[in-house]
Formats: sequence, C-alpha cells, structure tokens
Amino acid sequence: MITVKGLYKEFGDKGEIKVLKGIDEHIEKGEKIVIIGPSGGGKSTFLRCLNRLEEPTDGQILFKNECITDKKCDINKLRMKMGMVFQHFNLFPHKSVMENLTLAPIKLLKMDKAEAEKQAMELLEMVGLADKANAYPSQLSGGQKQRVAIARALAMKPEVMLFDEPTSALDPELVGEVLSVMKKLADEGMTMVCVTHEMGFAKEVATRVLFMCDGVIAESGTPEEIFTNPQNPRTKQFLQSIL
Amino acid sequence: MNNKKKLITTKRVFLACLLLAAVAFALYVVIAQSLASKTSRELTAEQAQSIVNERLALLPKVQADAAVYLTNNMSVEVKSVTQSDDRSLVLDCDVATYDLYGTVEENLDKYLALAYKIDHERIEKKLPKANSTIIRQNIKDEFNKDFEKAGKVEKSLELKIYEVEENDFQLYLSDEVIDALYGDYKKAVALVKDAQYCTIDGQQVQISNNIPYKNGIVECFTLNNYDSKKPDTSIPAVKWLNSVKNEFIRNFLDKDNGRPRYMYIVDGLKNTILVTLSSLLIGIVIGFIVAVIRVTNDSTGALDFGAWICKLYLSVMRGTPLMIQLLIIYFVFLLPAGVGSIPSAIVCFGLNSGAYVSEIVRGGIMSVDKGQMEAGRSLGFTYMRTMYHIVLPQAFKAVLPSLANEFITLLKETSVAFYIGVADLTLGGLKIRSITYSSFMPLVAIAIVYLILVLGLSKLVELLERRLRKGDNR
Repeated sequence: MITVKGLYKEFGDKGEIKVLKGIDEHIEKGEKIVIIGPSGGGKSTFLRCLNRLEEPTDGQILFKNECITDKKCDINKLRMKMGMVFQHFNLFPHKSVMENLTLAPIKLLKMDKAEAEKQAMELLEMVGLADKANAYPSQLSGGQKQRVAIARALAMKPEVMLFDEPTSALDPELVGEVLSVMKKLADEGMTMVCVTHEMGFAKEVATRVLFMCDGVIAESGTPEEIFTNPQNPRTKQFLQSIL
Repeated sequence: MNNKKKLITTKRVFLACLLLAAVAFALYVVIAQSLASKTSRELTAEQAQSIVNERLALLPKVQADAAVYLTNNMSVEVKSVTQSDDRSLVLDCDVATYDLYGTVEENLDKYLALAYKIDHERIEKKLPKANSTIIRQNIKDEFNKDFEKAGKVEKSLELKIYEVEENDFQLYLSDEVIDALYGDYKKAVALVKDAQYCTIDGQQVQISNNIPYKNGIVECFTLNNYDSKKPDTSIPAVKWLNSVKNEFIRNFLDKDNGRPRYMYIVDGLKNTILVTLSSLLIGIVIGFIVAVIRVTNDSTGALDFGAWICKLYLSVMRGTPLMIQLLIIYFVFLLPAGVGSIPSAIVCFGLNSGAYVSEIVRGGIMSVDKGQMEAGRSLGFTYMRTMYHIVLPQAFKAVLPSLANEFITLLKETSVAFYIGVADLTLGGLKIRSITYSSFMPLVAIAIVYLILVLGLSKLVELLERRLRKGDNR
C-alpha cells in the first residue's frame, strides 16, 4: 500500500542536519506497523514524510502506486485518505467536538450536514464520547481530546492511519482509553502506522515493529522477534534501557 | 481573581485622577476668568476718549463711519472705556455697555446693528406690514427711545450699509428689501442672500458671492439677537455662570438658517462614523489579505512577487504621514477622477489602516499553534483553506483587542479628513468656531464626543471579546 524508496530528509539551510538517511520500506494493506526507537532517531520525521507534512529531500514514496513525492500529484487529495493523529491532538479550539468532526467531511467530501453529523455521532460512539458532541476541546481531558482527534481523522474515511506518539502527552491513567480505541481500530482491519513508546501496545497489536535509530530502520520484524530476540546491538540497548 | 481586583482598584484610582483633573481644570477656568476681569484697568475720561479716537483712527473707513455716526448723531456720552485685553475694548456709555472689538467684522456688526436697531420682533408686533417711510420713522423712534439722554435725532437716518472704497459709491437698501424685512424677516434674509443685483443710485450693481458687502448685508439682517440689555452687575461668579450659559447658547443652540448650531456636530458625527466604519472594513480586508500573503511567503516561499508588493505597500503607508497620504490620494488621484471627498477619505484611511491591521493580523496568525495548520493539512485542506477555516478565525480572536485599538486610533485619525473638506466631527466644531469666534466650547465639545465614542467602543469590544472567549480556551 505504501512503498518508500531511498528516503532522505535533511534540515537546515545547507542540509547539515541529516535526519533520515535512506529508508526503504513497504507497508501492506491491513498491516499494523509500530515504530519504536530512541528520540532523535527520525521516527516522527519518517511518519510525517508519509503524508508530506515534511517535504522529503530525496527519495520516493508510493501510496497505492501513486508517487506522492511527485510535484504533480495532488497531495491534498491523497491526504484525505491518510488520517493523522498528533501528539498534541491539535483539535480546533474554536469549534465544538461536532464541528471538529464534520468540518472536513462537509467541506472536502461535500457531505451534507445531516449526513456528516450522523457519521460523526457514530464515530463518537465508537470512541465512547457521544455525550461530548457539543463540548468544546477546552472542556475535555487529554485522553478525550485524543479520542476526538482519532474520530476526526476517521471522519474522512481514511485508508491508512498515521499516529505520531498519540499517548506521549497524556497523563498515565488516560493512556489506556486511547490505546483501547486504537486497538478497536486495529481489530477492524485498518492499516496503521504508529510511532509510540507503548511497548505493551506494540506487542499486542503490531503485525510488525520497526526499530529506527540514527535515521535508518535498524531492525524490522514481528513483535516477538524484536522484543524477545533483537539482533541489532542498538535495539538490545534501547530495549534494555526502557524495560 | 486577585489580579482582577487589583485592576479594578487601578481603574478607580485612574478615574479619580481624571475627575480631579477635570475639577482642577474647571477651577482654573473660573480663576483665570475672574483674574482677567480683575486686571482690566479703569481709565480716566481723557484716556478713554483718546483710546476711542485712536481706535477710530485705526478703523477702516467703513467702520469709522458707523462709529462717527454714533458719537456725532446720537451724541452718546462716553463714560469710560475699559481695556480688558489686547483685542477688546468695553465702551461704557450713558445707556448701555458695548463691546468694541478690535477685529474688523465683529466691530462692524455691532455698529451696524446699533445704528439701524433692527429689532424685528418688537417692530413686528407694532407694525406687522409697514412701508419704508414708517420703518424709517420707527427706527428713529427706537433710537430716540434708547438714547433719550442724547436728545432727539434730527437728521434723517440713511440706511447706508457700506461705503465701498475702491469704487467710490454707496450701497443703499431698497424699499422693497426693507418692506420684506419687516413683513417677513426670514424671507428678507433669504432675499438678500440670494440677491444678485442691488440698485445703487438708480443703477443696478451686481453682487457677487465672495465680495464682503453682500455678507455685510446678510449679517446686518441676521443681527436680530443684538443684545441691548443693561450691563450685567451681578457678582463675578454669577456673571461667569451667565457668560458660560450665554456662550453655550450662542455656540450650540442659536440657529443658522433654522438649524441649531449643534447640528453641525451631529452631521459631522455621522460622517466621521461613516468614514471610520467604512475604512476599517477596507482596512481589515486589506490587512487580512496582506498578512496572509506575507505569512504564506514566510512559511512556504510562495508568492514572492506578492510579498514584495506588500512590503512596498507597508513601507509607504507606514513611512509617510497620514495627512500627506490623504492630500495626495485626494488632490493627485481621486479629485481629478471626479471622486468626492468622503469616498477619497474612506479609500485613504482604509489603505492606511490596512497596513497597520496587516501587521497585527500577521502577529495573530503566527501566534496560532503550528499544529493547527498541520492538523488542517493532514485532513486534506489546502494551505489557503486551512488558513481560512482554521487559522484565521483563531488569529482573529487573538488580535481582537489590537484591532479594537486600531479602530479607536482610526476614529481619532479621521479628524484630519477636514483638510480635504470632509464635513466630519472636527469640521463641525471648527464651523461653529468660525461663526461664533469662540474656541473653548466647540473644540471641547468635539473632544468630548470623540472621547465618548472611544469609551463606548472599548466597552463594546470588551463585551464581544468576552463572548468569543466562551467555550474556547486552549
């Protein structure tokens, strides 16, 4: 579904900060990829390159056989099919939960208002927040915000969901509710790419775990392989330090 | 909460200071007034006569005529002359006190009014529709009544208004005009105002609008409110209060062409509000466009040319004085194109405030979390649509107080619009000033109107802000 070929990303005026140093990866439909690794390893940058929130310096990304790094492709159309959930939720604070969920479907998918609201209610029910439809983001807890953010991304009926450390900004007791929503989503067969530090989640849900370090994918494998028998010394070191 | 309390206390202290300042100012005015009247010197009869002679010698011939007429024909005995300041002489006669102002027109009015004693109300009651002969007799009688001590007026009263020096002829009022005057006062004023020709010594003479003797005629007829009361002998404080009252009446309630003078301010206010609101609207539209272009250029590198134009526009608008911009836009560009002064002012103030609004809005856009743009983009919105649906509404809220300040500044800045002839609030006050020759009341009045507008607006914005803040906190 997503194919990455020779992806490079450099920051700075002269490209002095090299964050991604040649990444090749293929993600199948229905896969649940969890990306782990030390901070500064390029996990988030890699994820954000997938929907071109970061502009890759070099390399190709194919999404359903369409080259999204090509200047000619309409990235906005493709982004509609790739939901994204952010570490800091990024809900629209001036709009109610309902409006957060219906804005994009109405404006971009040309859904009529009633239909969009019906869909929004279904999604809110799925994330367990049907009673908060008329609340504003400031009235929600972190976990609730993140669940709304997931629902918002789902409202566009995406084919892939990208999660950028969705639980890192949450209080520990709120992490569970977000992860359970993500699990539910995984069970429904959604293709997911998730950057996270929740190893439990990775073990339970992931079909494949990528260990990223120093701008490359140092190791890739099933959760059992990675967590019980890591091959790369960096992976070993990383897992030791966090477990 | 504590902060709020502190703020309220500060506010109260501030208001108290303002109040104190106002009281101090009023006191100053009272004291200054009474001091001024105390310092006026009493002159001996000889000194007074010499000052009168001096002044009379200084007067142009047209006024001297009237003065000489007074002293000779009426035999007014000058009791004393008081000089209260450089420009004002008070002439104390047997029967009344008259101010002899140094300024030309004022002086002329008084003399003429005195000389012809056109007090139409009194005459109207006695002789509703009289012919010119009766009028002349009546005027004589009026004079004699007022100047009993001075003896009978024997010479016939010539209704001479002006002696025009350059052309050496005299201007008389025709009988028709006088009839009209006593038959229907207002009609006469209109008649004289609209008159294009006068009969002078049997010859028809054209009166153009900008020559002074036409104004002289008009003013002669409009001087119905000439004050021939006895001198005010009440104590200084009451005198001052009376003078304030009279000033107020003269500046705001007296009528020109049937409209009380405060209407100049009311009409001006309408124009000021029209200009301010319209130009603010233009300013906000321009400001948002310019800000979006500049932010887009900063963050994506697109729209290079647009950003260059915007920078040029900003430097010009913020680097030159507003008044110069106003004069250039009106006299150089729009007046030749046939655009009126109000639309020109709106265009100019709109362009000018657009420059300031754009900087405010740019700050507002940059204060919105970057994540908002990313969230919008990740849903599939284009850059511009994310801007429109998500970033700008939040930016607008963030900059509302600054925008309100800009609006208030703009409201005050429109006061220069009178330079291109916009009849705004300021010009309303200046008009009254040019009619009554008093500065204090008209100018303070417009200042107060501006102040009330500004305070009202601040309050409104406060309410709006509070409403917007509801349900929205990050």
